[in-house]
Amino acid sequence: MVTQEAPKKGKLVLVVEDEPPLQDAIQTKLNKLGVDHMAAYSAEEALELIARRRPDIIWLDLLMPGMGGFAFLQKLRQDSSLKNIRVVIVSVSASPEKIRQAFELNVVDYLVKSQYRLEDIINRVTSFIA
Amino acid sequence: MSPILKSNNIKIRIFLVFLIISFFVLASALVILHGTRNVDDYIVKIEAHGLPRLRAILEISGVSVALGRVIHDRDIPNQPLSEIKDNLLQGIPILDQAELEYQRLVRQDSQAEANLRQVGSKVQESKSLLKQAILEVVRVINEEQSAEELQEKLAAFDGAATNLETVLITARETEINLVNTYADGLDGVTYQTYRLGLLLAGVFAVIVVLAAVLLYRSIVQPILRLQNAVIRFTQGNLDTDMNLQMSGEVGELALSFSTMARKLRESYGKLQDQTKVLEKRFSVANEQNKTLEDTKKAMLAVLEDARLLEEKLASEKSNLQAVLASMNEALFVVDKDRNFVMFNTAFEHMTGLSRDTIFKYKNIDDVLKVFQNGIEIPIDERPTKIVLQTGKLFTYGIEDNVSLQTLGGKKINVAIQAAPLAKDGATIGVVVVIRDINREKQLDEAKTGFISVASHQLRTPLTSMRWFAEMLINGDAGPITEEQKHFVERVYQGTDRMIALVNLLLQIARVEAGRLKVEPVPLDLKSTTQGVILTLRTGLENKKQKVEVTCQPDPLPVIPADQEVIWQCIQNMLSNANRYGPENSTIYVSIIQKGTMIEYSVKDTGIGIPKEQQSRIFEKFFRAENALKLVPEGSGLGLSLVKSLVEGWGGKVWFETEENKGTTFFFTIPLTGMRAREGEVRLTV
Repeated sequence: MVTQEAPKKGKLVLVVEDEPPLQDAIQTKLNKLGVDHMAAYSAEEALELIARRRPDIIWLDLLMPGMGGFAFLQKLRQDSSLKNIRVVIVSVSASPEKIRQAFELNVVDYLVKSQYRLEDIINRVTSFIA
Repeated sequence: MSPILKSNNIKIRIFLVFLIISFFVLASALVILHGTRNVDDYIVKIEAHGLPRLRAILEISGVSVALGRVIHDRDIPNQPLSEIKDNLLQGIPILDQAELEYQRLVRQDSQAEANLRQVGSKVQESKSLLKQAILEVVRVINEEQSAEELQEKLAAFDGAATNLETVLITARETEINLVNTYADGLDGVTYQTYRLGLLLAGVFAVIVVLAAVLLYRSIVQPILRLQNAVIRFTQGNLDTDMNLQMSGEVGELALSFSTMARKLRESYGKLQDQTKVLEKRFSVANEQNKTLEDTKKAMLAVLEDARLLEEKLASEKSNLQAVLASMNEALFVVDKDRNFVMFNTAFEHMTGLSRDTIFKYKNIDDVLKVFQNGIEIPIDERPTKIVLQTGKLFTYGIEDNVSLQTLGGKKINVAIQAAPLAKDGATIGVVVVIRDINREKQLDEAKTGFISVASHQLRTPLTSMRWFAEMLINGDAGPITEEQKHFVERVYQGTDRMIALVNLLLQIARVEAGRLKVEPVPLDLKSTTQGVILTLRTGLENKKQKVEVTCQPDPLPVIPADQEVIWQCIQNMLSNANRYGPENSTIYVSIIQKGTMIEYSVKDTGIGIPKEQQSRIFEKFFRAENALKLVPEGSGLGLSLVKSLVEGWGGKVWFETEENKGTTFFFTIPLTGMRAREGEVRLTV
């Protein structure tokens, strides 16, 4: 029923998600799929991780305590060395306003968490770094 | 008239009048008496002297004539001479006696004139001659002398007789002349006296008349006038002009009467004036009274109504004042020039300005600045200005993000409602109600926050449940038995339903909170419907149902509407038809233009809605018994959301149904479509 795709060798995914159960599920699945990844539980943490190791794609939640997804994205886009990193928004919100705002900040996709199966989201995210 | 007679004293006047009359009468008596004495003189002269003398002369003449006849009547036959002689001798004493009488009379008349005495002596002389002649005749006869002698003597006699006769004629003429003279004198005196008498009588009459007139005029007439005046007065005719210009006591009396009358007339006049005024007033009052009487009943009724009305007004007024005073909203009224006319205490509190300060600055622009999204609105675009220009209601809601800055620099978030104050169709001012929405804004933000948080907080655990269930099913945690898999699949489906339910609830919450963002775009309802049908394809195919879409007219007019909102409505109605319609059936969608509206209907041939439950069909979470039995997993929120959405754009929603025969749901949307709305959220969460 689920087609397990080949892990993207040498590609790094940064998952920015503040909810531990979701982060747990995502990490579990990414490990199963053999996708190289980093987990950040806040935007601030994500910036630290990026500074250490540059990801190929960022899986970004929007509603987070602290800086929040959009502020992180803006900061990223203002940094000349980081502005080209691809970002997929994975949020519970389907607000068109947020979607528009996200695409204005040059994200490659916007996915509503509850509407997709986890595997489908991972497939979608990894498709950008294939 | 003599000045004395004008004397004011009546007694003196009357006395003077009588004195004059008496004097006049006396004078007249004297004059007449004098006249009468003259007459007597003449009468005596004539009767005592003239006429006797004349008689005596005639006597002498008669005797002379008789003697002549005695002598010359010789024709008488047989007359003896002796007889003639006797007759002659007899005649001589008579002649003497007559002549003596005459002479006595002449002597007697002391006043006799000289010629009368001459005549008297001539008469004496002629008589003596005649007597001598007679005596000669008698001697002749006695001597019987010759006839010749006798003849001679007779001739002498005739001569003496003729001489006497001539003298007597003279005497007689003298006497006649004298008597005539006397008579003339008498006549003259009588005439004069008569004339004088007449004159006196006339004068007397005049005097008497004048006196009478004088007395009449000075006494009787005034008294009569006075009397008349008094009579008129007593008869109550005070209007009569007295004109009592009189002198004397009557004058004084008249004067006092006149004064009294004048005063009386004046007071009467005043009284009359007052009376007239009073009468006028009375008549006016009377009329008014009449009118009043006429309207009294009506008035009483009206009064009662008026009293009730007044009470009502008073209570309304005090209510209004109380309302204005106790209003949380600031209220003020400006005139055409946008100067403050009135405002309530809430306005003072809101602006932090005193009543005096507001009235001192007068104009609204001097007291308030209006901002939208932090940018000052130009004076010409401010609500009061717009209302004065358009005469229509103008509002700024919470979503318009309007704030005021007062004179003191205080900034307040507000909602503004500015309504025209119209009089006779003209806008004469603006009534403005300002709501301080700082709190509302906070609440609103809290609400928005809640919805966001709820959508996040509810869906995040649901998502994790869903994902872990998904991984379990996928065998990511190791292989699971078929029974275990079946259980986890139930968990997965339940989580899925829970997510859908939360989404629907959040949608309804947004719509009901009025926070939905509406973005109308030109929309074709037919293609939208076909889009929805495509998404429902799986469900329709499962029940082998067809959907037939009819449009009238075809193509339909394009209307401005929010795609997401319309989509949600159509989807709910069609999915209901799909769920509750039988297999192998047709769902009929009709989109018909009716006037300025489009009527959209979805007809199924399904279970219908039981009669007793029809009224509750739009309630949240309500599900009809037959529907609950047929599709246990329904949320009971779909129709509630449809109703909220349709009513949100000003449309109507209703249904026609018959149990076990089918249901048709209708909604309307105006051709003008939906109005754009700056809400915070879209329908989709």
